[in-house]
Amino acid sequence: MENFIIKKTDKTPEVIFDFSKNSISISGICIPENPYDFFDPIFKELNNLKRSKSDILFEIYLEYFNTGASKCLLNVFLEVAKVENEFPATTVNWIIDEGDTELKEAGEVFEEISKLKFNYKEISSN
Amino acid sequence: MNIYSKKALNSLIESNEDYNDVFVLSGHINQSIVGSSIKIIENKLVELKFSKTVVSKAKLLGVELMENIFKHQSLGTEISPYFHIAITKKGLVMLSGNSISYKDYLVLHKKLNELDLLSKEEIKKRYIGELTDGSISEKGNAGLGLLTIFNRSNDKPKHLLNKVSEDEYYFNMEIYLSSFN
Repeated sequence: MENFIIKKTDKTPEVIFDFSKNSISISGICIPENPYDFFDPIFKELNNLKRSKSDILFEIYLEYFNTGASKCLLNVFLEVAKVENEFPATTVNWIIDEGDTELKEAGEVFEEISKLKFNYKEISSN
Repeated sequence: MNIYSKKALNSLIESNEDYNDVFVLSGHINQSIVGSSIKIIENKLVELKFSKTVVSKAKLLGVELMENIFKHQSLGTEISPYFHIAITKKGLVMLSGNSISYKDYLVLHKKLNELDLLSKEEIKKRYIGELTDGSISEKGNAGLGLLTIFNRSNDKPKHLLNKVSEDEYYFNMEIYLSSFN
């Protein structure tokens, strides 16, 4: 199955579904004017990932986001979490710039609510 | 600058001998302006050697404040909204202001009174609850903007609702982000 890609804009992130790795990566700025419209195709492709019956890997590296995007992103995690018994090793790699505790805490809130396994990966921006 | 933003600014100046602008925006705000403003703010704060954490907090809060302005401000008002970041004796602060309808004033006044009574932990709990259980409107609002601001701010935001007329109020907010690095 071909990868599904949403290109980055100045308000929305790049999204890549890699079906060979059963992974989804979301990176960039996430302040869509209508989060529901932006995330709708993501939910549709997520169903394809779930159908594979393999564990899902999320790679999330966001610069900043609005509350509408927060809510949609959480719903993406919850969509996988509700069938977690089928994907017990589903992992979220929450990537942040080194020393950024604010975005780390944002990830911790998603982890607390979704109960998915989060790995916090710090990268140096230098 | 309108009289309501001047009052908010004067209050800030009176409480601080030293006061330096980082970013000032006044006038019509839309989504494109939000994105470009955040970029300017980020570059400025990095230049001033604020930590990654503070820069992220400023971006996340800046987005909420500016989006709240363009989503909720009164239509047809002559009073401009504003968004302002400054360094004071206390540290980095954000100020914002926008005109709202009487109907929005009633809702906002009630929400602010409720949030003012909550502790930091209670605010976080409420934020998590709303994030989990809340829905998204057709306009893309999660209804979480004010709660997010209270949750992310270091201290409780200061706020002021000034009556402009029977149908219009002006909402000012002051948020403390961090002590100076």
